Amino acid sequence: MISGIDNLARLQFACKLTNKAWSLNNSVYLFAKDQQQSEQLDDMLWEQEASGFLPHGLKNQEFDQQQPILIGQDANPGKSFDLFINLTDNMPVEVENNQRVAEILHQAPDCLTPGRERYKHYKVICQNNDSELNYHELG
Amino acid sequence: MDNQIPMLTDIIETGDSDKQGFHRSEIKAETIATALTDDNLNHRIEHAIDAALPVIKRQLHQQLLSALSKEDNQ
Repeated sequence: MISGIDNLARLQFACKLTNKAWSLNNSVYLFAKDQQQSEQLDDMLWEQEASGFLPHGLKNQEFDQQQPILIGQDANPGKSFDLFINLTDNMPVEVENNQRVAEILHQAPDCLTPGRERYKHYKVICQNNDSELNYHELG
Repeated sequence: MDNQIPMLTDIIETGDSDKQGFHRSEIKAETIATALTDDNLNHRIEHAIDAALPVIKRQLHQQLLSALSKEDNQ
């Protein structure tokens, strides 16, 4: 949970999280709400720190199966990732195929309310799979 | 201001053994030195690099994936 109601801050945090995950050699899927958000994330990932390099691409484009960091609008990316970041208001499909799932929410009701609904789903999934569910408040 | 931006050719020319070439190189080296101490120009160069880096990274990544794909197909 991030402070404020800024959608851009949500994407910026997703990029930071992707950067951190990639530095640990983790594959990442960024589940975007639409094509515009996908392209925005694509640009933002290339614009990360000058000396950094986050190899990534968009789903349904050339070499998408080889991308260690993939951005797409499919609730089910078709293969498992070490980290699945949900930036939509929808529940990912077969989310348990991924090693970890991250939801980044801000304080706006249109983000928070569906997020709370998904939290209930995650709680059930985690109980069934004996997985851990963590919640972090970020400044 | 634009004509003060150091070019790759300026740097290459410093190795010219021809006398006239040396003279030309000295002038251009001075131009480069002036340019590098110009804060405004430095800022513009940094800005240009910041703008170019994402494009270069994207192209390199595509080329790398393409090369790896060709290797896999061979």
